[in-house]
Amino acid sequence: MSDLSRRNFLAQGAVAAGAVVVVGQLGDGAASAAPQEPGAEPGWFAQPTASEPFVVHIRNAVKGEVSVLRGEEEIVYVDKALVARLQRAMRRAAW
Amino acid sequence: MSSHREAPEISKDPVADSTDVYAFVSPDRPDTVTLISNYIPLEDPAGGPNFFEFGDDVLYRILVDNDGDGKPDVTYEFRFYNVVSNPKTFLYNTGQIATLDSPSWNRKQFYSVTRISKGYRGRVKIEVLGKDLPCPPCNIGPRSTPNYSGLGNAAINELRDGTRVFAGQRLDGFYVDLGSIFDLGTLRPFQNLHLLNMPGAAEGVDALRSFNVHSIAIQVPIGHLTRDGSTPTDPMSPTSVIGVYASASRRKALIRDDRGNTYQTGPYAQVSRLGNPLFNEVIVPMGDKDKWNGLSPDKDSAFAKYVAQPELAKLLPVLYPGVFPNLAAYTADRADLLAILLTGLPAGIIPGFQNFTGTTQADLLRLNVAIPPASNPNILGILGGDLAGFPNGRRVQDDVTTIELRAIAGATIPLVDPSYTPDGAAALISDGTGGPVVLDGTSPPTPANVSYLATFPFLDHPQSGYDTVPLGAGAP
Repeated sequence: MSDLSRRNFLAQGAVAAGAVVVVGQLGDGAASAAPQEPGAEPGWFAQPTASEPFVVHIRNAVKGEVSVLRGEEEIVYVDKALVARLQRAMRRAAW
Repeated sequence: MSSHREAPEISKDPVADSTDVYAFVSPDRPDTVTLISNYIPLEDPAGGPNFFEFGDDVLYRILVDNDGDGKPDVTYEFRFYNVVSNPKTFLYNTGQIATLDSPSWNRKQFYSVTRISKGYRGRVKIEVLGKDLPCPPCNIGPRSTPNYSGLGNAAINELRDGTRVFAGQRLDGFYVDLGSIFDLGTLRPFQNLHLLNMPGAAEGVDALRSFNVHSIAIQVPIGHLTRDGSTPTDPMSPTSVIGVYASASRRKALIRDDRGNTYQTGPYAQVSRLGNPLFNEVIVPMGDKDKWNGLSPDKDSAFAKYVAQPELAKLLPVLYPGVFPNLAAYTADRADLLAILLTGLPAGIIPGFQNFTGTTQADLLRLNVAIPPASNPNILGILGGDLAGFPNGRRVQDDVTTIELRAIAGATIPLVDPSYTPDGAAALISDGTGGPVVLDGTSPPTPANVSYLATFPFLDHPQSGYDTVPLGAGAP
């Protein structure tokens, strides 16, 4: 997946049921204060490296609910501005 | 089948599909319990060149509840990885595989075992019991794997805490007449009594007799599983009962690129689980099966209604007119099945026995570890008077299909409702794979083609691809 850029991925139109999925690099401090999702299974082995790709799943675009999956962790937080930017990017890619 | 391809989604994901779970006090080491979970249903032994293996992207677990809340207190995790020696050949092996480190074996598989339990002051305790443990190869044939039993036995690993573990291909020890049962509930021994009757009763056909599975087997000192760390000797003590289930989980996110590569990340989400045989397959309706696979057993009260009024119990009197009149007239909730499958049997029902874990309804294979192994096992388990067999845990040879058919047909209702008289057929019903129908209640034999080992890992070495003749083509 190293050749799969955020832009290319978005251009491939990975949209389903109002959700947007993004593969990229986790920026400093992103979602660091978000709570662990209830019910998520704990993982004991895989520790993500700084260069490891990660996945962002827009769970609910209307509410701006963002799920970040990295290593064996998942964090969920609300960022309506990010969701709006991604949706604009999707529209540009569609053109 | 016990749980082979039992739900729509998991039937598309064989390496994560848990097919059978076994839990029993080990006859070869009675101070231990053997726990086995099988995956990958219906392995054709000749299925090369990419022979079967565990998923290196699947988290396999065997879980034990020892305090009756339906949640795991002791968990064993198994994670696999592959090593390919030569990616420039299409071959699984380039010569004879004489040892587990044979350079001729091109695609090897290794695994780790981690134990998760409650530690000091309730903190989670994580112990890596073994790493880089070898699996045996698949049984290819007499030229590739000429001494298969040697390879299989060499893959039994002794861990530092007295635990013994094996992970690899085995002969499927489960036996059932799938072709008949799924043909509108036919049981060959009684097909002349079926609504759509076919003349001539016949012996059952073991539809799994030509197939292998992949097994994870672990033999654990009893004290590592009980709530107080003891090795109980009193069957009536609550400490003596553990509840067992197995699961498989996959990462939440999977991304594919356009070069055939995949990337998976995120926490693991459970996609398969299994406790009592046939629970999800026969009790849970189609629309809820996938959901059931994703849940923890402590949520199973939501499915109790299907146990209380099982669909199959309503079908039997329809499919076999006049054969089950008492069952047809019985409309009360099936307290016998609710106990057997969801809470365990409390004391006072069977003399000297209980495997009750409390009021929390959870599909668990409940094992009373204070019941010693039987010297002369009866494959009908408790129905056959053998307290060491299903539904007190489950041994590899137990005829769980017959036991559950008879239970659903009403044979176990008198355990909780003495006013009920079972239909005569309830004590006879069977799919016939255990040999001819036995009328005197004694133990029928297991099918002649199914064999087991007397010692760990108990499931026999797998059939080889070269030697196996597919079912229906003159199979032995």
